[in-house]
Amino acid sequence: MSQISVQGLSKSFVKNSELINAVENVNFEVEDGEFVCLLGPSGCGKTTILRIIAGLEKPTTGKVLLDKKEINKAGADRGLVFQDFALFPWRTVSKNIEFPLELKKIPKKDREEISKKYIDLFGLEGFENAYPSELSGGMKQRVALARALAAKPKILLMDEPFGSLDAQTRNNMQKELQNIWIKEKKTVLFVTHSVDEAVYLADRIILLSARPAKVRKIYEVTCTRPRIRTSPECSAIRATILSEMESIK
Amino acid sequence: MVEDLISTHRKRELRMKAEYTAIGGFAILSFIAIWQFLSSSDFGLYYLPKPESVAKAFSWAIFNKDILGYTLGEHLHASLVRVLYGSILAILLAVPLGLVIGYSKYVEASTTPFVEFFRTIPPLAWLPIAIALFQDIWESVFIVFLGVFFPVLLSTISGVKDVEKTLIDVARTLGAGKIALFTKVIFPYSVPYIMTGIRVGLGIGWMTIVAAEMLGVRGGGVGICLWTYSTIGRMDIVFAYMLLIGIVGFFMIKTFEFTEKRLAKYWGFSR
Repeated sequence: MSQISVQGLSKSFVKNSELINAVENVNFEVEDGEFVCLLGPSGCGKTTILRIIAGLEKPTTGKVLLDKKEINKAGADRGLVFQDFALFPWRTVSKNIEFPLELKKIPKKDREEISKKYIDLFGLEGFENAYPSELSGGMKQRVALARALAAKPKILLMDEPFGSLDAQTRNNMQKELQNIWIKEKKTVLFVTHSVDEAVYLADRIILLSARPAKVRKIYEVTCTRPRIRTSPECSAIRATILSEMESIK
Repeated sequence: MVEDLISTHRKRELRMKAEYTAIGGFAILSFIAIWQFLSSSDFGLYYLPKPESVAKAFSWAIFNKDILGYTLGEHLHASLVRVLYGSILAILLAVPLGLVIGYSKYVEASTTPFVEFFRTIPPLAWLPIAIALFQDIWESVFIVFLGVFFPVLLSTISGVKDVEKTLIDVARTLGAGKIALFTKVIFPYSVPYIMTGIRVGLGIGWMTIVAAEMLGVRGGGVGICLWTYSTIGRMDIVFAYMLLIGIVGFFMIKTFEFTEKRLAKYWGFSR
């Protein structure tokens, strides 16, 4: 059963008195427990699609269904992870993770227990009381992920979450995300402009065209998990997508 | 080897700090020496008391009730209480108002003309109204209130307006409603801004209290002392109180700067 259904989604806005079509008639589905990547060139409008699904923006036409119900505002059932982490700088690591739990009025003791669980899951032991300003980029993104998962969303939306990390940290984070995804089996919709990242992480890759974003092609990635970046299957699909992407421009 | 480097570096830093302090100390001593020279009888500045007579007046004022019936400590206490009342009232009113103005376009549109107009009126220009409206210490409390109110209000508004949009977005996707956005994101984000407003406001409040008290208050106060003793020509006591006002103001601002910096660091702002 599809969990997310994007139907005839378009988004236009006016910027400097010019009409910009960011998204045009986009249709796709995300199945329960599936890891889907939205892949497209920078500035093509993939972030806009994600923000509409998150409920932070309204579509011009079309609609998004979550479990068959139309989305019209932001909510804790869709967690969003940002490229620039968006941690609350005045909250410690554990207090950041407890933020969504406080909103759900979960008692203090249970909150601490849950945040402890995620701190262990993401290898943040020893940093419970550290402030975001004291953490490296990779650590910050771990906290942001932990916080998003602590809200127990039905689906995790990730907007180029590793885009601001260096190559090494980025690879490690992708690996960790894959391991956690294998463990938690959460539905993930992941926006990226990196073919490598998409092939390494996704069950399915939705390739978007340049602005306005349209669905150009959908690829199934059937390589076994945990994946090996340099395996022949991975390399083959990467080559296919790369050559398709070259024809976009 | 590395430890050697570190220790030389530390030593150099310490030496520079010591030099800095020494130069400052030397400047203070020179200042007193020049003062001493200018106030000597040959120079003829009859109204300028000698440093030692100011020191004597200072210690006299601490241990004796003066012609107003209070010791220096009691005068200071009276002034500080007024500044405290005025500041607390101003903060209690300016912070919630600033949060609402910064948040709501409608409230902003309807209050901006008044805020922009009234903040340009110096607090002391309100004295006639203060005297007409209030009694006792509340006249000068009102003046301090005005001095603290506007800086706190304006910095609270700018705090709310500066809130990073992604923090609002992320809070919403984590399930925050309007009230939670306010209490858990917008208000905490504004706290360092509010602190800056309070520091600036306290400085202004302390300056205005002195002038406000000069017009006469019951129960003593540093301003009334300055006025009283200058009318009877006791410049040594006037200077002693100027010294006191300076020292208290200095420590007030420094304490706040310190808290403000700590808080900014704790809040993750490197401002």
